[in-house]
Amino acid sequence: MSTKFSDELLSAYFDGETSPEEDALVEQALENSTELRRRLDEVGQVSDLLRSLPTETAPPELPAAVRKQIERELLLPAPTSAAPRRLRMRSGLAVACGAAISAAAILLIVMNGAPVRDALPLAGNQLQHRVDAVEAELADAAGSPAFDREDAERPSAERPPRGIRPEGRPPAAPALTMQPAERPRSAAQAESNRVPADSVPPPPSPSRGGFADDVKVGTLKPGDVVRYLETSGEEVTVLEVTVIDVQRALGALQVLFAKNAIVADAETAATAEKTASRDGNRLHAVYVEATDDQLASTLNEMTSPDIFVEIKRHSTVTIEELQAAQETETARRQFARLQSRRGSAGASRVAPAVNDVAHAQTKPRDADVAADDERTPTDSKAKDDAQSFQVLVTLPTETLQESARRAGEGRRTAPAAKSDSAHGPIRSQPMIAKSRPQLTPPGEQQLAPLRVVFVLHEQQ
Amino acid sequence: MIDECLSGRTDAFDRLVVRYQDRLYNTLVGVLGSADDARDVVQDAFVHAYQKLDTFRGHSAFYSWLFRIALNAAASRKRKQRRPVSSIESARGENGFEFADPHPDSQPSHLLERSERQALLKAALAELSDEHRTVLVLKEMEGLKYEEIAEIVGCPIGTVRSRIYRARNELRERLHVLFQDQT
Repeated sequence: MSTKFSDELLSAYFDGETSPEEDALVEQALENSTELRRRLDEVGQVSDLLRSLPTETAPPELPAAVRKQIERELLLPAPTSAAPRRLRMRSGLAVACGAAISAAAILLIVMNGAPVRDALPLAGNQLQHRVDAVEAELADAAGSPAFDREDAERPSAERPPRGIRPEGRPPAAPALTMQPAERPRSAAQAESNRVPADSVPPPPSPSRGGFADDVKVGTLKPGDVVRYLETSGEEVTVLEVTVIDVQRALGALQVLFAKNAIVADAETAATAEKTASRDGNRLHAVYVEATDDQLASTLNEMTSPDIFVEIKRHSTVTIEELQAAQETETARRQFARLQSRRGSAGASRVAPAVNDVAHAQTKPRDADVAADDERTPTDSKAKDDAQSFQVLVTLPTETLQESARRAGEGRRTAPAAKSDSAHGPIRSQPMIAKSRPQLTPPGEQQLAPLRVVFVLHEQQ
Repeated sequence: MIDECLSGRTDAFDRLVVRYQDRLYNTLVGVLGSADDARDVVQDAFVHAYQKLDTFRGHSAFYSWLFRIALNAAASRKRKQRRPVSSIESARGENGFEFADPHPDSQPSHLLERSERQALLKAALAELSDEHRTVLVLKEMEGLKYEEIAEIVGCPIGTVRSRIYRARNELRERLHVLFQDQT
């Protein structure tokens, strides 16, 4: 192939990107032309100029900014975003389709600027479906003494490992065995039993305990280490966290979830993110699976003072209030369902209206709860439902022998919640455990997973 | 390190960021002509890289793959954000010197201080087309081979060679004052 000389060839020659044939051609031309040698020199000058520019160094905060953005996008992914599948699966961030995986779930509710009782309903269909599905389960559980759960009976060895669900495999819906004739349902209840085809309610899981009796949540101080509060897999536990910035807190929590291999339902979070209440407050809800040690580790690591300000127990909430927050409503109903099945007179009690649905056999246990009963709803429907329920809070613990022992013994009734801790802050600074809790002592029976509600709101 | 990232070790990706951030940032400052834009694009590029990490097959160098992502992010950003392009004229104004008369006698070399030359060079670079500026920066500032540049920008090697030549030629014409000064 014959090659003709050109200035372009001269430029490539300067870069050492010419073939031997082209080299020979250029060198011959250079020998015979002063002008060509001058032009080659100019190429060199341009090159020298560009290389003389100072080297720019990336801003030192860039890695943190990258991480933060990744966390944010993982937690609240855009509809079209796609995190690496392998990465997400292995880091425990696989999106849970619904909250119906066999393990327990953590419901993360993030509010922007207002406590949950002031929040307004979420509008997402998915959330409504979830509520509907739970309502249906409540009614089913209430009307079916023969209620059975396939998953609970299945040997643990047959269950998939928690935290990782086989890719492409949808979460299995719980198999409910019920006697339709035995279901006492009101029209409203029957209406609430509509279960969308695409909605899969969270499956129940074995009961495994409740609050530690001696934990006074409201009196805890920073640095305190309290006993782990066993909960049933049926329970939904609520933890209200005051944060500096919701987005940062979400990101930090997501990191902790990932670090502890807790599966998050990012789809739900995205749905919640898009919803806004009339006063501009927002709700975020992320369902995650969590075993006891996963949760404890997560809580233990919520130590950044510039993110997490305070944790306090979510106080008794009336249905009237809960109607303003469907996610919490979901938690309430899930909890009511637990109570109805367990039939315990534990710390958390279920409103009569809920009992009517769920046949819960709980009663008020203390003055605090009784006082809540006196709250008056403002409308007739709310009046019918205006009852309170007690939510549970889980905290990391250092000494778990007793709870582990109780878990090993199987079912137990939930201990009483402390009336003086209903609204009290657990801490005014980030809680720093003295040591990482060993929730499941070596050799002890592995506890069932937890279902917890995190409620976050920004510091005012 | 990439395998570690894919295995779920988030600290491994942090190390990837630290390893490549300066190089990518420096190059993007040259390509985009703006430190702020470069910072944003680098950040976006790393996030996108994280999201697509499982698609990296290792057929190319990681940096080439990363830079391709960065270029896409830059293009996307540019579409969204049309900003005024700096020019030699504006650079002159900003730096308070004029080259109206390039004659050596009236243009003492000492006037062309280093920072001024750099400002002029950056302005001239900014006036190149995106295609020309990108390949020239990758060649001169990154020291990449034509083949690597072709892979990054997604065009044949011959096109890279042509673009580099044209970019140099155009830049030389825009910077003739500097050359006169140097001579």
